[in-house]
Amino acid sequence: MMSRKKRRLWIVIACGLGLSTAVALMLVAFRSSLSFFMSPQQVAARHPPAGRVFRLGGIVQANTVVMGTRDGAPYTTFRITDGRASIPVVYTGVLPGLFRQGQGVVTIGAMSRGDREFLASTVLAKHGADYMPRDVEMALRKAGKWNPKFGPPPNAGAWDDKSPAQIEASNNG
Amino acid sequence: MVKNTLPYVVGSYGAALAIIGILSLTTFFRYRAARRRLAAVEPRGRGESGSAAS
Amino acid sequence: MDRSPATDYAADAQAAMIAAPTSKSGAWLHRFANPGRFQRLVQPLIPWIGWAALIVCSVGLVWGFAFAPADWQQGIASRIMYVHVPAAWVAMNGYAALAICSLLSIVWRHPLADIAAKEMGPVGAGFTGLCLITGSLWGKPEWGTYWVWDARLTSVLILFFLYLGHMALIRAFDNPQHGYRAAAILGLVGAINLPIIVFSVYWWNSLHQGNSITLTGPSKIYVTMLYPLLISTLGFYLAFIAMSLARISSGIMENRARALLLARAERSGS
Repeated sequence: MMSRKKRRLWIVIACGLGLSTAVALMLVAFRSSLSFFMSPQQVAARHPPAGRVFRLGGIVQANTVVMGTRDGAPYTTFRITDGRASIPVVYTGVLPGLFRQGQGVVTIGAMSRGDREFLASTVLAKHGADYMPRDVEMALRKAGKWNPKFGPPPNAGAWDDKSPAQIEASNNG
Repeated sequence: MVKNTLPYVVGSYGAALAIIGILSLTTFFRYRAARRRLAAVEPRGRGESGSAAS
Repeated sequence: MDRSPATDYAADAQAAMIAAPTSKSGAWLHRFANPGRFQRLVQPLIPWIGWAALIVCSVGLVWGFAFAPADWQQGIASRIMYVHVPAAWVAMNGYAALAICSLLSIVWRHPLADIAAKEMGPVGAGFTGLCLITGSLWGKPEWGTYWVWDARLTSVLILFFLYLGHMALIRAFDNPQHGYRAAAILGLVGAINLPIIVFSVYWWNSLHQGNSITLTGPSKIYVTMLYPLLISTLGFYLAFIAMSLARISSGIMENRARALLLARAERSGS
């Protein structure tokens, strides 16, 4: 004979297992729509049809940003990369203040005809998880350990508790 | 393109003060009221939790 | 059939409210179910935890607001972190505590767990709301938008609604025991959302950044920015604990005063 407490415990465990399985299956089934954006590699693999709106996210590739004006409105072209593939983007409008080379961005738009380029209507900045004061950033640059143009900072263990002077002194180390 | 983010920072800390402040003040006044009320109705000499409600 | 007094919930709760009995069954869990024992243990601690919370929160928030270095890229907007991140942690761990109370309530009919779940709900909801507001205020200047429907933001919004639903449900019935049962089921079911919040930034591409502090590997926050974060986190946890304990204690005292008045009315009425 099971005590009532024990029976209730087993019921809770059984319900918990069932519920977690159901939720896990749902999350797997809706995986693609739960992702906020597609990476360039995913876009290259799946070829979304021209005109279908989706979000494209990645890092603004260094030395690809070209700014100009077209019909009086500012427009920008650049490439978004995830290190494995890169997609050219055309954006008409004012960029967010944090837009720069090496910055993570998420853009909303659609592929043009012939898969040539991504026509973005919105550009959002995507932050990394790193927080550092300006002098640490300068020290990392001077030590040649990081150029923000080429993406996120190096392994946090290399800078998170060292003084800027120590970081600079570790040049070529 | 330098953006002034001070209003957002002030807003965040203001929200922290407002929410935590309201929660802790209501908690404090409710706790004090409950202690006084229990102290008023507690029969003398037999309360356990009442002993702290002095 | 096991009919030990400990499983006979209604009688146990009634007895606990009026007579504050000492533990009757051998179950160790019920040693802490006794509201009288809880009051004796906890009431002397509440002012100490409360003052500690006030001091630590003040130090952490003043440090974060005025003295922590600005981020090289975000500028002073990075200071929103000292409110946002602790609020998020407390919101999630508060819900974990609420879910544990729900389990204790469903399986062991722990009378104190019901009161605890009822009283932690509004506090947790407050911290979740704070997390959402500050996140939004950070998102506008940094991402370029107040809100996006990415997996992290949406799952935290669901956490907020779970708190609100629990608060409403546990107070919705004339017979509080019915509310406790229903809310405990909601509390346990909602716990499935917690791992989704934590891992959402890794399972799916999200606009929200990954975790800056993990149990494995170095922190991605520079040390002079990390200290105020840890201090305000400690302060927020202390505030949550102090407020929850004081509210639980108030709830027990209110129940006891009500039961005493009721008993007195019955005696004079008969």
